Order: sequence, then C-alpha cells, then structure tokens
Amino acid sequence: MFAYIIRRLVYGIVTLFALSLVVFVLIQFSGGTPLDRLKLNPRMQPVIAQLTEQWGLDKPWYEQYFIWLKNFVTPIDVPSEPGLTVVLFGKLGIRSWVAVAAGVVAIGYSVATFFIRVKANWWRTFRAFSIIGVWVAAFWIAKSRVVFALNWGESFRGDGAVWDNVFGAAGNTFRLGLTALAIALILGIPLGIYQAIKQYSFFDQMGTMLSFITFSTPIFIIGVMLQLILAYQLERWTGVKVFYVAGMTSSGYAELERGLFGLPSLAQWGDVIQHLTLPALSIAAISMAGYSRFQRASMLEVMHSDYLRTAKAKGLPRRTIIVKHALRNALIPIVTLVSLDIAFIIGGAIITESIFGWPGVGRLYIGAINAIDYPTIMAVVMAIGAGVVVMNIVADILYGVLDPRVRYD
Amino acid sequence: MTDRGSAAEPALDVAEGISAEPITQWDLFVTRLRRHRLATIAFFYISFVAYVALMAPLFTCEKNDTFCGRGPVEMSLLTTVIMLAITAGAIYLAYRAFVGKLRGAAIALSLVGLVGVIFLISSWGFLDIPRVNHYADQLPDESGRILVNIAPRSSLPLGTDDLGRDVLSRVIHGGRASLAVGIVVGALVALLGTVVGSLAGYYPGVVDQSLMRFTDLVLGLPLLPVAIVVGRVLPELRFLPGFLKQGAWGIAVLLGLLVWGALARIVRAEFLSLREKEFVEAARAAGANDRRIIFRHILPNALSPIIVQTTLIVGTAIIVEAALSFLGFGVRPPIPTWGGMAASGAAIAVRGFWWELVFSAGALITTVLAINFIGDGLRDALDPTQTIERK
Amino acid sequence: MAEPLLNVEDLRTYFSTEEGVVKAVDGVSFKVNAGERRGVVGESGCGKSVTAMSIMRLIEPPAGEIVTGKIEFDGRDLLQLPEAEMQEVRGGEIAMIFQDPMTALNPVYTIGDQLIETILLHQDVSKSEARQIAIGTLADVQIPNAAARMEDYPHQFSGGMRQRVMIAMGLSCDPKLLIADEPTTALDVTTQAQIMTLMLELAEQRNTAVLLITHDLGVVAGFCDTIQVMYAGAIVERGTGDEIFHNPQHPYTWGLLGSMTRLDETQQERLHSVRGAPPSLINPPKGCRFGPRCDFATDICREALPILHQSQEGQRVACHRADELDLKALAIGAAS
Repeated sequence: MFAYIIRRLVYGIVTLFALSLVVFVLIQFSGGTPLDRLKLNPRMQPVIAQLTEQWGLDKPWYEQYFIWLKNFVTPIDVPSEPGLTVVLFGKLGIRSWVAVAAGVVAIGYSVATFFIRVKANWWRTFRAFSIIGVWVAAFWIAKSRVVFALNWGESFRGDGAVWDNVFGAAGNTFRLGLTALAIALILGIPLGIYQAIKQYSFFDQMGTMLSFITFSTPIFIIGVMLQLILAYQLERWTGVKVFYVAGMTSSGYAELERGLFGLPSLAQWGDVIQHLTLPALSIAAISMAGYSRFQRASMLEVMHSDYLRTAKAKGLPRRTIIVKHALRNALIPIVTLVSLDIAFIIGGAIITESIFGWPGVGRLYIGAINAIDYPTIMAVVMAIGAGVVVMNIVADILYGVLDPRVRYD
Repeated sequence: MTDRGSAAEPALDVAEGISAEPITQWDLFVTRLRRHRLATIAFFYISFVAYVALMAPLFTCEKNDTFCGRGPVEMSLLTTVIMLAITAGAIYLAYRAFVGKLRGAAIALSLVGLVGVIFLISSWGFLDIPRVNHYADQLPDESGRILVNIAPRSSLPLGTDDLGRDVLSRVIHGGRASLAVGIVVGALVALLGTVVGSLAGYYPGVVDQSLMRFTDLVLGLPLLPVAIVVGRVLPELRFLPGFLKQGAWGIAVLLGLLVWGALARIVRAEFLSLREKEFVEAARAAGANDRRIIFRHILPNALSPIIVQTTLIVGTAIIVEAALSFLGFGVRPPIPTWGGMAASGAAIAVRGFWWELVFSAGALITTVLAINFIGDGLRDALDPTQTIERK
Repeated sequence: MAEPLLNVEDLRTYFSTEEGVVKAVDGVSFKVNAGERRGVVGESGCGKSVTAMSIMRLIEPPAGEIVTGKIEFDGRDLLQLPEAEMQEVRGGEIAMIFQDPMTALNPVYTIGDQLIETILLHQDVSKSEARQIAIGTLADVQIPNAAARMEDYPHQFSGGMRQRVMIAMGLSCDPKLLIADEPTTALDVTTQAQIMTLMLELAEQRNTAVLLITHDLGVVAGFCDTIQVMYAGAIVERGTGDEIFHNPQHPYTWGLLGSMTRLDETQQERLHSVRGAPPSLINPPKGCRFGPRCDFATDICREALPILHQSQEGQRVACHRADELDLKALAIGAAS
C-alpha cells in the first residue's frame, strides 16, 4: 500500500514536470515579454532591470526554465521573531487551529494504525479519510506562511508575492469548489438512487431528461442564466436583493456584528451564503447531473446483479436489500468519478469565478494569463496539477478501502 | 435471466415458429438505432445544423442584403449549383439511411465522407479571414443609422446585437466553429486514441508501459488551464499557418491533442481482454500475422466503445471550445462563435436585450444535447448484450 | 397419499417486451412431495428458471408478471401471501441456489456476515449462536478451517468453494424445499459431481425436498427421483428417471436423449441433434409447440395443442402420437 502511494506520487511528480515544461514553453512563444507593460513607465526601469536579472529574462528559454524551477522549489526564510508559538497563535484564526489539530490527530492516528493491524471496516475507512485531513492541515500550514514557504517569486503585475496570492486565492476557490461538490453529492447521489429504485417511472424519466440537458449545457451559460434569473429578475420582482452576483462578501462585511471567538456571526454567514449560492450552484449543476446519471446506472447494475437476487431469495426485506446490499456496492464506483471530477470542478471554477468576480485561483489565473505574468501562471498551473494528483491518490486509497477485492501491489 | 434470451431476436419469422432469414449486424444496428427515437431526432437535427452551417452563405446576410430585399448575392452560379446538388444528395442519403431499407455500411460511410468533403470545400472561405467579414458588417437602415439592439421582428428574426449585427447570420456562421471542433476533435481522438490504445493493448511490455505512461501524462494535464494558455498564445505563434492561428481550427487541433487519453485507455482495455479470446487464438493458430489480427479480428470488436466514446468526447470538446471563446481565449472576434456571442450577449442581457444570449446559448445547448443523444443511441444500438426488455 | 409439499397449478408467467408478450411459462402444473428429488430439464429459454423464480415470487414487475396460477406450499397459496410473510418463506422454508457462484455472493461483505444475516433473519437466536450455526453449516459443506474462513471475502474463495457457501447459506435454516437452478453449470466437471453429491446428501439428512433445474440430462440422471421435461414454457413429459431415460414417450425427450453423450452404452450410437431452434414465445406456433421441429408431426399436431396425459407406458406426456410411436425401436433403428 505504501509502496503504491509512493509510486503514484512519483508518477504525479513526473506529470507535474511535464505540465510545467509545456506551459513554460508555451508562455515563451507568446510574443512580447511580460515586462512590456512596465516599459511604458520610465520610473520602472530599475524594476525591469532587476526582474530581468532575477528571472534571467534575457537568457534562452531552457535556462530560464531551470532558473524558475530552482526558485520554485527553494524555501525562503520565514520570519519568526517573537517565537514560533506566538506567531502561530497570532496569525492563525481558530478555524485554522481546528484544521491543524485535526491534521495532527490524523497523522498520529495514521502512523499508529500502520503498526496495529486492523480488520474492522469502519476503522479502515476512517484511516483512509484521515488522509484528507493531512492534506487540509498541510494546506493551512502552507497558507499561514509561518512555518514554511517557497520562493515562487513576485508577480510581474506588481501585486505581491505569488506564494501568498496563490494560497489566498486557493482558500477562496476551496470555499467555492467544496460547497459545489457538497451540493452536487448531496443532491445528485440520492437523486440517482431514487431514480434507479423507481426505474421507468415518470420521475425517473424526467430526471434522466433533465440531467441530459444539464449535462449538455456549458457552465458559463448556467452561470449567466442564474445571474439573470435568480439575481436580477428576482430582485426586480421582489424588490429584495436575495443573491449577489459578484464578490465573496459585501463591502460592509467587516462592519457586521462578529460572533463568538472571532467566528462569523449569523448575519455574516447570511452574507456569505448570499454571495456563495449562485456560483456554487452553477458549478454544482453539471456535476450533479453527472453524478445522478452515473449513480443511477451503477445502482441499476447492482440491482440486476446476482448477489442482489441472492439477497432477495434469502428473504431479506426490500429496505435491507437496498440499504445494506445494493447501496454499499453502488456507491463504490462514484468515488472514482468524484476524484476525476475534481479537475472538472477546478475548470468550472475558472469560468465561474470570472463570471461572478470570485477572487479565487481561476480569476488569478485569467488575470495572469492576460498579462503574461508567468510566475503566477506557473504557480497556479502547478497548484492545480498538484491538487488533481493528490485527489486521484486519495480516491484510489478510498476505493481500496471500500472494495475489499482491490489490492495494491 | 437466460430464459428471455430467445425473446431478444427482433425479426423472428413467427409464422414458421423458427427463425428463418438471417439478419445482418447492420440491420440490427439500424433497427435498434431507429427505435431510439431521441437519437433519430438528434441525428436529423445535427444534420440540419451541419447543413445550415456548411451552406451558411445561402442563408445569411451578405452585406445586409438578405433581410433588405435582395436575397443571397455574390455567389457564383457554380457554387450555387454545387451547394444545391450536395443538398439534394444529402437529403436522399438521409432518407435512404433511416426511412428506406439500407444495406451495407458503405453508404453510411460515404455519407460521413461526403459531409467531410463538403465541409473542407465549403470552409475554404472560412480559412481566409477577410473574405468572410460580411457577418461582422453592421446593418444600417434606409437613413444610414445603425440598428443596434433591435428586438426580434419579422425582418430580423433574431434581432441585432449591440454593434448592430444580424444575430441570425452570426448564429449560423457561429455553428462553423463548433462544427470544425466537432469534426477535427472527433477525427484526432479516434485516430490517436485508437492507435495508441491498440498498440499498448496488443504489445505488452515496453511498448505498453511507455505508451501508457505517456497517456497518463496527457490525462494528467488539467484541460482548461492548459487550453487557456494555448488559446492565449496561439495567435502569436509565428511558425503556424494563418488558418491555425485564427479561427476554430487551431483550437480544434489543440483540443484534439489534449483529450484522446481517455479513449486510448478504453481501447487498451478492450484489446487486453480481446487478445486473450479464443477467436484471436484461433486466428493466430491459423497463421495470421499481427496486422491481420489487429485489423481483422480485434479492432472490429472494439469498434463500439470507440464510436460511442468519440461521440461523447466531441460533445465535451464543443463545450470547451465555447468556454474558451466565452473567456476570450478561443476564436477571436469578429469571427462569430456561439461561446463568444454568449459572452457579449450576457453583457447586454442585463439591460434586457436577451436575444443574442438566448439564441446563441440555445444553438449551443441543443447541438451538444443532440450529440449526446446520438452517443446514447449508439451505445444502445451497438451493445450486443443489450436486450430489448432493458430498453 | 399425504398432501404434497409443493403444488403448482396452471402457472402462467408472462414478460412484456417491446416486441410483445413473452409467454415464458404457459400453463405449468406439478407437485413435489416432502423429501422428493425432482429434476427439471429443458433447453435454455424453456421456462424452467422462470418457474423457479415464480415459486419464489422473484419475478419483478412491471417487466414480468405471474398472470394466473396457484402455487400451494405447505398448505398456503404463495401467490396470495402478503409480502412480509413471503419474505419469511424465502430463505426460511424455500431456499434457492443459483447458477453462477462467482457473482451470487455480495463482494463487499464477508462470508460470515452473509451467513449470519440469513440465520438471524429466520431463526430466533442470538448473534453468537448464529455464528456457531454458521460455522457448523460451513463445516457441513466440507469447508476446511470453517471458523477462520468466516472472515474471508467471497473473492478469496474458488468457484466450487463459493457454491459450497451458497449451499450452506441455503441449508442453514433447514428449509423444506431447496431450489437449485443449474447449481453446477459454471463449475468444472470434477467439482460438479462433488457438489452435487454433497448437496443431495445434506438435503436428505435434513429431509429437504430438492427441485433441481438443469439443461444437462446427465446431471439429473443419477440424482433425481422424478424428472420433468419442459419445452417452450410447458411440461412435455414427466416420469421416473427410469421411464424418461429408457422409455421416452415424447419426441423431444427422445431427441434430447439422442443428443447426449453416454458412456454406459455398449453399442456405438451416432449422436443426433434436435433440428431447428426453439419457437418464439411471443407468438408460439399453432398446435403442438414442438411440431415444427418434430420428425413425426401430422395434421393434428399442427392444429391442436396436446395436453399432459397419462400414457400407456405409465408416465405423463403431452404428445398426440405418444401411444402410436415406438421411439425406443426408432432409437435402435437410427443407430444401425
């Protein structure tokens, strides 16, 4: 198992190399240098000289690539003057602490269970899920920039350190993407299961038709339509602003009353939800259609399987048959689908963020592409690539836990 | 449910009580496909969309004339005759394929081939950007004012956009980008996916390992971010010929090169299981060489997943192209695409000018929907294990 | 004679398809006594599995439906039972073993889980008692190291072993009737006989009646008391093993026997096959269903459907010409 994960990680790193090379070379071909924009301002001459020097912009592309690569993996010193703990307490909010604690517990737990052989299913399931906790913790630690940071350089557009920009935006994209994923899973899977149980019913046929249509609709059309109907038209009809079409929070968010322990208050939650709903829905809609279709097919396959016939012949009540025997088997394949869907959700986030003005990775990326701000482009691409690699490994591990037939070697 | 096996044969000669005349695979396929009513409708719809897009000059506004009384102009007699002949041929073949009794895959293939040829011929104008600038022209009225944001009316069935351009003409021409993407991506994916997948599946060891590592690598590239970079730099690549830099062709080739991985994996899996089958062993024992085994024995059996998967990938590719154009990294204005029109349409829809958005989005959704229906119908029709009872 | 354990009367199970209504089982009647071993033989598609599924009431509407008929089991009509009571009959009083042991067990639960589940469902015992019973039945079906193997998943067993588990699962609640639907078809030949013997021995110990469904006459030959032959949704001949094997009255049975390889024949016989293919069950031929394939068909065979009746030889047969034909003599004639 561990050998398998290591091998997958190695493949993942090779993929990331290839990805970085492809994107880097492509950027080199885009006519003009990213500094063209700065040249218009005479006072920027020293900056240009410094950036040219730092990134070797006058050197051939392969040398530039190696300079970038070397910088990309080089840690930079992080200030820790008043003592590490104080900085940690001061910088991280309570949510970050919960996440870090969960991560620490998860790591300790994983290490412990590695030495104790366990057989119970729930136990193994928990261990597999704890891996997600590890990644969440790693993300928060990296974002806080307290313990560790890499030299990803300064944005060519002059808006600060790329490391901070990417991790700041990634947090926002997570908020959007995870909400969308949750909506898609919570609505899509039960829908598919219900359709399969009521196969050929009116509900089933309507559901299939609707998911077909949604599945064939580009995400930007869904986003734009949601804006037009649920934001503009709804406000026109009711006179109340129910949903917002841009940003993560209202400008007055900070002035709203705060909750206990620095957590957001109810009013602030409401504000966040008003902003989050539409972009999350537009990403979720297509995934939801996909999940329900997939879940329906998978459930039907299980319902027609021999072992379900055995279960019926045993005299089990229909409820038990569906909940215990069918569901468990039918839910396994969707794990793979969800992991493959991560790339799609990130892609959807790029489009949705540019429609809804969501300050996430996608908007950062589009902005960087337009300005050919290549430190940012490279960092975002690598972050997305790494996210996909990690999620695929997580999915493989989960699959192995859920399906006893799978063995890794 | 083995007991229902006998019920699955549709053309049993019931009077005799014994199955009499053998039915060919093609007959079965057509019967099943025709039974999938949505797929049949979708097939005709796609043919319609393709036809209108290919013959765009027949229907669209050439220097504002169509809807101002003079009809299509500036087309040579020869072009008109060719286009009308092709129209007649296509209608006849479509009729034969679905209404009349059609024997042999040859006619179907020739239909596909014909569409490809027409497309290449008719899109020559498309390669040459300035020639087709007419759909970017604005529509002045008699007094010379530009008619901006005109709601649909009898003279302008789909209205005009914020620059005063006829939306109907642009929707029709916009179909060409989607069609180009569909055809090029379909061809590239089918070719690359099949070649890579079958080589990897047939030759285990080094060939398989290296090809599949490469496939994994391509699959590992996040599609949209990479496509955006390429879309951004494409017009600036000096060594590319002009038609690849602008317009949909470059985007189409790019998408084709990015999305074949999934098919390669499927084909490889098919080959892995088929090469162990008895009929392949038998062929090998009979002295068939690798080429014969691959092309005569394995590939025909792996054809259904290839066709179905390619169809579905085409649908995805059309959506991705539209998304790129929407974001501004696809086909550049003023060349119309459905994605680009949706972007500019969305900007004015807030002010109540809904038509550009609705009609471009509608064309896009219905086209992709039709392709997905066809994929679904093909899946049902090509799956030999499918029984009628399962529907 | 005592009341039969199972009494099926005029069972008709139809499936609706796009092509029309498939009359998979069309008027089948038979009785099975307690402890009896009954063989059901026929080609695939003749309705033998559907008969079994109908007895268990596992036909799924809306595709399939039991149109008419009566299935009396132990004094109750199963078709009239409410679903909750039927669930107690399934697995508890009638158990069923399926053809393909590779797919008949749920892959995500251990063998132990699946056995215990059945026992808890039908017997009033505690979890640990159920566990003991399960281990006991596993040992009965000769699975070595039964207690340890309880924790294994189905994929860790071979095909033969899995079929043993299925038998254990079927017999764990001491059912009165065991329906075995082609239990050995998916296994290799050496395992087949073992499994068969094991299953029938265990059934005999528990006085469980067995309804053995197969397309292989060779399988039923040594194992069954009575054999019924089905063709196109109906029973065409029923009799003891001796009667069926040595004195077939229906041309179809005769044809089946002729197409069977036999090692005990002293005389070298040429194998012959029944010509043609089974008829459509949607729109069956007029008259005798076997008529179009029968070498002896006459006008009456094309006009009227023969019904199952007592023949002069003793067994029951559905053929107009059963009494005039001497198939035994013909068999010798065909051989020479």
